[in-house]
Amino acid sequence: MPSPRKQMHLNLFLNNFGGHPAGPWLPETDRRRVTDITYWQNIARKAEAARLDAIFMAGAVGHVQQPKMNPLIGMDMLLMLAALAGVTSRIGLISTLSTTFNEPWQAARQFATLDHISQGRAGWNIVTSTSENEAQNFGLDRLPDHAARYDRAREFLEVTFQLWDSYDADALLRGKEQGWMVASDSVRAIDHRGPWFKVKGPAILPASPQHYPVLSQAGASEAGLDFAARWSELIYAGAISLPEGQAYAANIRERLLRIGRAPDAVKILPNLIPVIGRTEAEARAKEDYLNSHIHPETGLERIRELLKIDLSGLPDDAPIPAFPSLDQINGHRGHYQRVADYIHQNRPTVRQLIEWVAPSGRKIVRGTPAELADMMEEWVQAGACDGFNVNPSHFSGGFDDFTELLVPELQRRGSFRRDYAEGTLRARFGTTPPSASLPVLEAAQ
Amino acid sequence: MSNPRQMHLNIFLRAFGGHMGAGRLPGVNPYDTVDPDYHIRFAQRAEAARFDAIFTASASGFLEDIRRTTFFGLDTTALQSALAMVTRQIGLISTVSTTFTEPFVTARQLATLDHLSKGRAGWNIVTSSGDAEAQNFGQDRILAHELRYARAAEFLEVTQKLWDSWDADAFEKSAARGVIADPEFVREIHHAGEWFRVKGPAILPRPPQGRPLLVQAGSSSDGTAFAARNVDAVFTNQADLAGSRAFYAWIKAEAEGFGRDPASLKVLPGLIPIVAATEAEAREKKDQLDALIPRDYQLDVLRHSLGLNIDGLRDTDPLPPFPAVESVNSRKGRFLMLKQLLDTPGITLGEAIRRLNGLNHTAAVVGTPAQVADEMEHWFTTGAADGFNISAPSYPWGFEAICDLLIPELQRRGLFRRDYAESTLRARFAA
Repeated sequence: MPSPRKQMHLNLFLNNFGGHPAGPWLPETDRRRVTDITYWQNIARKAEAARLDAIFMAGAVGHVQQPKMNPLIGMDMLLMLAALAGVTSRIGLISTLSTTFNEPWQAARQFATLDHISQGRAGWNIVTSTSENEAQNFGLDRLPDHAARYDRAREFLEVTFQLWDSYDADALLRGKEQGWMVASDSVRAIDHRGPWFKVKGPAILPASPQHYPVLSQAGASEAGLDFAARWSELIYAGAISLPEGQAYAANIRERLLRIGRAPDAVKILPNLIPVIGRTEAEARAKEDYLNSHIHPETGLERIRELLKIDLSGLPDDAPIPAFPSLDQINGHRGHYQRVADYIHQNRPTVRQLIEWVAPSGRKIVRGTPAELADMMEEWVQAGACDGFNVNPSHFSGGFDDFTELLVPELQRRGSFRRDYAEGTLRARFGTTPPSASLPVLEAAQ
Repeated sequence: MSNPRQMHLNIFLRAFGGHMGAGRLPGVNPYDTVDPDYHIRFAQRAEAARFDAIFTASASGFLEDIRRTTFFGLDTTALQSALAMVTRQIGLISTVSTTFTEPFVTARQLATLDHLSKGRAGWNIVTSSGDAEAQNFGQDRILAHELRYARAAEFLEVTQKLWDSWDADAFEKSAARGVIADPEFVREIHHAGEWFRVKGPAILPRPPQGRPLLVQAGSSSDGTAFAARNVDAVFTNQADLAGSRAFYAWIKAEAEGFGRDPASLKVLPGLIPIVAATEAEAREKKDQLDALIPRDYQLDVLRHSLGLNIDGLRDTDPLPPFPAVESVNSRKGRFLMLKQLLDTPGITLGEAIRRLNGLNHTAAVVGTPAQVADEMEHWFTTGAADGFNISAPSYPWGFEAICDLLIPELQRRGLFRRDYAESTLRARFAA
């Protein structure tokens, strides 16, 4: 009897227009969907019918790029997920919230609320924010530096854990017996005093079904990797190649061991943007369709950034003019080299380069359901990840292909669940929340 | 036959009920305060009764002794977001403090609620009032009263600029130019004031109502001046008809002084109707609730809300003199309302406790549907109210009695709608 396959975890990375850069610019895309909850309810119901682990929403508190080109517009994610909690019953609901521009008392309350409302399905994707535009919506001229943001994030998490721990499970029942709302000896002030926060506590609502939301983080820098190993349960990595993915996973597991957390306390879920066709030809046609709708500015901006040349104004079929050589480049040399190699080998036109460069840096994978399932299984078997944070190429077409073609293929193979088991979101992931008393990792060299 | 004027009735969704004894009734599960199904049932029943809006109050910490907190439970904006999905018409008013939040975040949250509900969001603007709240946000003491309202005024200005930073049809007009959000239609606000610097623009399209219905609940002079200038409805606790008439006349005149049509500001006193088929039954219900309140609770109200030193007093002893209102930095309105209720010459401790009962900062009417409706009609037609912020004394009994007995009586009299007409909450209050 063959041993049952290891099942993977699949989150739906839910954003307005999908993971392919053409998403906002497709003729079928109605941008008014951004604030149309009926649209998102339908997506959430389909995601739950496909038995996905969770809906994962990223976002920012300001325009991270010029509004003309910014696809990250939208409603408050936590409130949107609170609304979606009412039309779903099993799927997890993971909201992004920045520790740089919020207060821990408020954040702890909001996530406990989401967890109560969803009856144990809440998750928090912890970010420290990355753009000056966000800072400038909060009275700051500049974004606080990287180290300061992570230091604040660490203390922010410490405070929220103390707040979530500030009630005994029977605080309200005992309160009623005593004639009060809350039994005062079942609730504790936290009296936190640190460099970033002074919070007296306690929380203003009882502990939620999961006690803590499932914590998610995308560590990339040294400080980010340390933070992810210390605090998160889900890590959505940005690895593109399998060796990169394996190296990233090994790096995280090693940090977990060092800090005293079990290597499997955390699930690693790299981003994946699948372009799916029933046949290879159909998949290719879909990718061509998407590429043909890439807004030129998306590619031109990246070419400016990497090659230091401005191709705007050139006709689509013009050849690529001369550009600075490697020794003149001060930016990211690895990315420069990949683009330079592509130009030298393929001699693309301006439009061809735009279509090649705009999606680069994202893990966009084209294939049939079987091909994609092979790749995904290979990553899981090879120890590169525990599943994927799947960002459909576009909504709703790419999403429908994901849930109607790829998920059933994985289910046929036994690599993905056919039904939800009982329990909370954390039980589904099988992760262990970090303890507030874990040691702090030595700052990376 | 058209009805010239009908009441606005909000229903206060709070833990257990407006009577402090409600949480101790047999059969009450205290974890209902965080149970989504409990709140959904409430919201759908309230909508079936045609209430204008569900009003959710909140604080950012324990305002008083943790044991007898009245503000407890879920984040109200997240809760209202969930309730938006299970209702279609009823308004959803959330309380957000301007003292402990940032306008960019709050503007986004309220716009989100407005989008989720397709134009049914309301914002109860509070400035918070307790040191215990401040201490959850890095401060030892709450900001002084006038500073909180100065901050609130600028906060409101910033949120309005953010909501206005997107033209209503910004997406369509931008799409015609081949972009997502064109700076001509989605504009940075570059606000720089005493309290806030916010660049903008907002990160989401303009809310359907332009701005949510604005509500304010302060009864202090700074609070009412803010309300008279800025809000669409004021929620006030008044001990009696005379007090409410005086408040009504005063704040309408203030609104007019700010160049507003006084009719555009609705005055909604808090009211706890204890209704039953017979007066005797209603009184019995009230007595049952009163009996559940621990005596310590009333003593705490006298100590903390009124600042009276009552240590060692017996029930037959007179109350000590009331402090001057100027010495109170928080919840001034509540202080004044309690003072009005209790400050009669020679009042004893025992009499004060009797008068407080479990309704210590809300007026109550006890009786048959006709008796309660008579009283409400009297307030409504004699310049004391444009409607009421209703608290049920208890759940489920007190709430169901209001929906099943009182509302139909008001409808029969033509004082309250039988059906929703307007599509947004703002339009409903403007009608």
